[in-house]
Amino acid sequence: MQLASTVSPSESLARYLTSSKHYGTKMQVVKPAAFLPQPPNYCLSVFRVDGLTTEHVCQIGQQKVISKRPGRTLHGFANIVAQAFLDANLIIDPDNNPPRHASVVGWPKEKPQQMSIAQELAASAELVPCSH
Amino acid sequence: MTTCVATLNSSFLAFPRNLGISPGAKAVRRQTRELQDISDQSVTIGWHYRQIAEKLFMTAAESRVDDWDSYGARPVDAKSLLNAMWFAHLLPMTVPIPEIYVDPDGEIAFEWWLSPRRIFSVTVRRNNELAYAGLFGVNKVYGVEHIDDELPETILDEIYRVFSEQTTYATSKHG
Repeated sequence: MQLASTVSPSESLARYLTSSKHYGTKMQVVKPAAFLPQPPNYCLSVFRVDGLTTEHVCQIGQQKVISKRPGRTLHGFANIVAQAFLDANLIIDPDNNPPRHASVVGWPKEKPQQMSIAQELAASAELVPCSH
Repeated sequence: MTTCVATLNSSFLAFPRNLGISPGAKAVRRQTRELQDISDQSVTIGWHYRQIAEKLFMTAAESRVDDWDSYGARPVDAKSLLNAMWFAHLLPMTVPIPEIYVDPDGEIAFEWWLSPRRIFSVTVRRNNELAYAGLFGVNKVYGVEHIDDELPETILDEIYRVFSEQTTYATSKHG
């Protein structure tokens, strides 16, 4: 399926959870730590996963995020609609590098604001575990 | 007449920092350190701090290498870790044990979490700032305080705010 050149607000995005600190097991929730942007460019890596099965989404994460780093575990992904990023005044750049990848940019430079946005995003996300 | 003003600390373990360089100041610093070591080892007073310190060191150990999160995160920052140890000393025993994280920039974060919309986080920065953010239903708070000899009141209030509804509920349920 050919992806549209822009990300629709209703599109599902996956943020892969690469650390046990990215989610809470008891309540099955995504933690804000999963949504903090990466320095020095302050961007957040997500994948466009509309219409894909959970298995397929996990497979992409395993291949594109985890496989180059031996010994790492893909715990699952945070499923979140694009609108949540737009509501936080962030920009989704569908760079398609690797395929289906998008970078969430436009983060405020100040750390407290970044933390606040990450909390809001985590509250809007759904935890989807990847079985191994 | 000499007026003596006692500095109120939020925690038994938070002795005011002594920055003096005279022999007397050094002696006081050494004695303070000894007193602090005794407090840290105390079963009652030291337990709370030891729980947090254990989490702190485990988290730091997991994040000591470059790219520990597979997204290019920086390793744990030594100055932030030192500041985080001091911050942990400032937390009163009445504060629930927080979750501890290393942020992608290597700085240490403390988090008090009750639900996705009842959360408060403090990042202890390498530049001695305490960056904080909280989500309480639809209400948000965020800002910056500075590390000092006492826990900033704003931060203490927001930590308690996370659990205030729970307390009210418990009170009304049993009342």
